[in-house]
Amino acid sequence: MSTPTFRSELTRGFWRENPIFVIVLGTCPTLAVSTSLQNAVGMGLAVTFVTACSNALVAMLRGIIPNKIRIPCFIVVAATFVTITDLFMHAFTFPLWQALGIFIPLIVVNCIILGRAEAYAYKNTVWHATADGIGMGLGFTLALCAIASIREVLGNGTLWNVPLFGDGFQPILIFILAPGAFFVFGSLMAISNWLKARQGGAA
Amino acid sequence: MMKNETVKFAVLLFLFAGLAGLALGATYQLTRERIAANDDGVRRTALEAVLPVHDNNPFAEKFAWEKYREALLAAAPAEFPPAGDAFWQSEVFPAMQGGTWNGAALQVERIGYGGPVQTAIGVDGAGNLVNIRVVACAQETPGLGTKAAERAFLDGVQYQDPAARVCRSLANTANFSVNKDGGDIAAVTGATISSRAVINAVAQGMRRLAALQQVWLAAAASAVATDAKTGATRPGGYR
Repeated sequence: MSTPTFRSELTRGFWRENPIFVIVLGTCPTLAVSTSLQNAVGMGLAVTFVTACSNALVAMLRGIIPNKIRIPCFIVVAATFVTITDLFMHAFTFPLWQALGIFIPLIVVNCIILGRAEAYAYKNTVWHATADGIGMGLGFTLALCAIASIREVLGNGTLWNVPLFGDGFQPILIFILAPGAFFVFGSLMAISNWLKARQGGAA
Repeated sequence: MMKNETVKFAVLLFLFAGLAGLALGATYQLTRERIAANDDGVRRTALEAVLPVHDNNPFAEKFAWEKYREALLAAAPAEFPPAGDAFWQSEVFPAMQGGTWNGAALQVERIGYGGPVQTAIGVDGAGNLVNIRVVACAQETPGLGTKAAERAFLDGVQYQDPAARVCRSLANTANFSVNKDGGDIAAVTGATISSRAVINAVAQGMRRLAALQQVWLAAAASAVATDAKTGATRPGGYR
């Protein structure tokens, strides 16, 4: 494998090591928030911001944080960033906060942040860790959007709140509910694995 | 040796958490006023939107339920919590027309599926539910419970007959509950609990406002009687 560059670290999360379909982190918010495309984009971008910031800070402090208490330190970093983001958005970008406000506290429990701090940022430079954070965040966003698009179209008959079908369309409600989330998540993961297996076989 | 290490870690973690706390405290202080102003703005917009016809300034003349607590508890004990409940500090925004009561707007709240659902309602002097708006339902399931904030559902709450735009009033709230509870309001599919939180809060708010109107009118009448006895005049009617 070639030496890591900003770009290689950034794009890794999109597909090859997608946090949702490959690493399978942060499934709780994935299942909960993927009810509509709008929610997915909002949650994805908020997570991207927090992952990038927390990765950068953890990489910056990795010389100071002792190995044995690193996990509590990571959690403090993540929770602090999430709360600061929440407060600042509430105060200064109010319309955006109204749209995303419900997802922001959910970010703390997103294992992607803790997972990347532990698996990557703690062992790499600030520069690469930031790239990894952004890449993982965007990979999360992409996966979330894929799930949300399917769920919104099938479960609500709309995409980005725009009705796609006539009045005669009876939405398949279960896709909006929790079982539908598991079903779509599993199907997409299977497809993603199948594609990867084919790629691997060819190479 | 081991003990030293533990102490060192404890101190380090303490410092770490302390710094994080300082950062949060500073951010909170920095943003507090803007956040309060933003939240007030939303509440005010919602209340303005639901207020019945008025020629006064309901925001200047707002009062807490506490003001009429004794009379209200005497008139309708079943509708109100006992004295000391936080409810009594919540506010009513009275709509006055020509110096007399023409209903009011207020914010009502019930616990939904994930947390409080806040709804602003406006009820006119005849007891009609003139408008309704969900102010906050942030903890309801996105895309499901949050639909209780949409017009499609709220129209069913506000109107006895949505097609003819006949508002619900206390005279026709007999079936003022979701289908599942025997009422005639279609709950949001898959979000009965969120729907119920809105409907029950609104129904209770209407009953409480009706009691308040009685109490207010009685107080106004007795004030007029006192004025007649003492010969005092009150410019602008009773306040």
